[in-house]
Amino acid sequence: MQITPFERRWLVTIFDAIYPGGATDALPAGAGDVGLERFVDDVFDHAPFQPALGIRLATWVILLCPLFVIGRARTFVGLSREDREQVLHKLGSSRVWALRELPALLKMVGALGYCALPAVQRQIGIPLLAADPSWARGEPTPGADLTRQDAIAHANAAAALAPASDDPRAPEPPAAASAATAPAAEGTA
Amino acid sequence: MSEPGEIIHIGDARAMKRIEDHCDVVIIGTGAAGAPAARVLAAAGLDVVMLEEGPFVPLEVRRHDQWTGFKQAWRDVGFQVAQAKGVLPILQGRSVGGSTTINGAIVHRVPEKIHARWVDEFGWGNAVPMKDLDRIYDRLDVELSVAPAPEPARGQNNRLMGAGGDALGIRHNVIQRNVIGCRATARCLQACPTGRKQSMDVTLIPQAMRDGARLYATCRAERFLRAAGRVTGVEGVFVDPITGERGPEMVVHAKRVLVAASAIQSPLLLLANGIRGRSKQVGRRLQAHPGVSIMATFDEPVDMWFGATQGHETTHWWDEKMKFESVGVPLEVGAARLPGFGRELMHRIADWGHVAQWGVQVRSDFMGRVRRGLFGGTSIRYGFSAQDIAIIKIGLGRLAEMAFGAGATSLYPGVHGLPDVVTSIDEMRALDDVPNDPRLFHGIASHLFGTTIMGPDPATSVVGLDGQVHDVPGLYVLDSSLYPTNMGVNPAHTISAISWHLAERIAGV
Repeated sequence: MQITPFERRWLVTIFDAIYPGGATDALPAGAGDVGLERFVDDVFDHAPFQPALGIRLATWVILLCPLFVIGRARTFVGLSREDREQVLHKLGSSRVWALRELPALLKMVGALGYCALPAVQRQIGIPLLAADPSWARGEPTPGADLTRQDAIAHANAAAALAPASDDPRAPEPPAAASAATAPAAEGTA
Repeated sequence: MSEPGEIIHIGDARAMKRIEDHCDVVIIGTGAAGAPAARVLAAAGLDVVMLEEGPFVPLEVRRHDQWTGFKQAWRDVGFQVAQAKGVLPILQGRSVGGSTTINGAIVHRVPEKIHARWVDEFGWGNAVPMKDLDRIYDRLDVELSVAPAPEPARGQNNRLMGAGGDALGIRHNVIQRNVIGCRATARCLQACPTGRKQSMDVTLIPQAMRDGARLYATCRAERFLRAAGRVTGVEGVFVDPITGERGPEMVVHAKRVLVAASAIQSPLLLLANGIRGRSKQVGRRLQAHPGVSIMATFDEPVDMWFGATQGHETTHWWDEKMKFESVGVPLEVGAARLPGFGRELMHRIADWGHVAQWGVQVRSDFMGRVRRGLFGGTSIRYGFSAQDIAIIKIGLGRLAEMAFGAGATSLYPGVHGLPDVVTSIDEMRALDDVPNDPRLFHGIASHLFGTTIMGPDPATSVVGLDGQVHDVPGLYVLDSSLYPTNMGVNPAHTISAISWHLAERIAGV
């Protein structure tokens, strides 16, 4: 399912209301500041029909609900930051299960994009040095074009990763350098 | 068309219109059930072909973010849900290695009480003797490198759960896991980005291939071939796991067809081929272990990003249908579980280094159903029963006692109707007043069972005691769809052991 440019912008605005920048010194950049548009496209490129439809429905309902939720005759995009948060809080604490689930769904999806960025994770002390996800680099999903793979060679390489120590902070065995090539290996603490 | 050990993908097959292969046994699915069967049958000298709907995910294409993991190795990109009263995410892998590539690597043997029920109440008799299972478990322990999570790699999320157990004076333990040299990235729930988890893709599958087995990945089995009243093979199609584009047809002629595609996909395949059985139980009796979690905040650093994803557990209250586990998750998964939106949420995210998460899974009595849904999708009916919710509430209360006993300063109970943040065990007692409505709890379900149950009587079961589908010679089911009940513990090791046992019988060893 494809999303329109308008819907993409609305969805990123909602993500930014859920995960705003500047709320704490630790996280100056929010979901609206990190190029999540490409993540949104990646989600709609890969999600099955029903969840994609659910994300789209949640976006539209949140966009159009402020009049009914906080009595403001504007779309969600036209609200102040405080009012956007109020809408999300009210929906999220609604007595109606289906309404509660709308912002919860977008909170879950938004986290998969925003909170996975190394730039965000480093700000809160997560020491992994992983590269940006493929969507952030405008690249296809790693492995999408795989052809013949030698399972035995891969298993032998995995076996060569067995360390001399139980300590995960001990240096990798030499075999790991060749077995686990750059992108995976660079994530090791 | 392939060299020994080579896994063929759709990218290799696109130029062809149709691929045909012949073998003694074709196995559909390469997870905890399919891989051990391939391992045993290939070692016994049979010519084995494996079909896997998902792709192979080698170490060099694995990444550290969960979304990439979802796309590479999860069924429905992680969005698979069951519906009953509310919606319940259903966790399943879809790659070479199946769910063993994305599980917590937890190893358990079937509890004797459960095995005894299968034997006595469901007529398993001597079909799967415990002494045979113990022999196979011992073998699997070696081949999968099973050991307790080593202390340096345990991490504080796991240690604190142990401290909570000590505070309550209950029995608890470090989890036995199939991992070598864990790098403690707490990212088991995607294909292990450091390649240390001993999932089927790096253990039993390559061993089977050393013995001559062949594997076609990104190949979905769709239709059984039949001749003279027997199933004689399977037709499938290569499907791009990312785009869904259909590639060439695949036809495998075999003396036996073994279905090991999970308690969701196996019954769907049978139903798609018109196999309902005299019992009409195909796709019915779906059982699982639904669960919920609490998050707890501590003054001391927890650093959930370092440690075994799931390294500590207690089965102290197993007889009350509860099992408790630590559940380390990456920030991009856990952030959505933190309460609130906006600035309030961002403060909690900034404090992520002080958050722990533990879960309770329930030996549920809910019986659901699987069938083909609209637009070719999968329709899964499953949820929490009212009794499950009553157990969940007790379990959450005990998790809260453990957390405060371990020194937690506050909890995020994740229950609609309770405060977002709870700071004392007295506040948690308000749980008693929360209705037993599944929609008030945020749960997930994993460990799926029971949709083609095994038993001696075709009137009440789908599969016979040798794993062969009643009235359908040549067609076998090997996975946890066979089990008449759920287990109350993590099933991967048992799925492997029972499949191994049935494969030995098929091979005549």
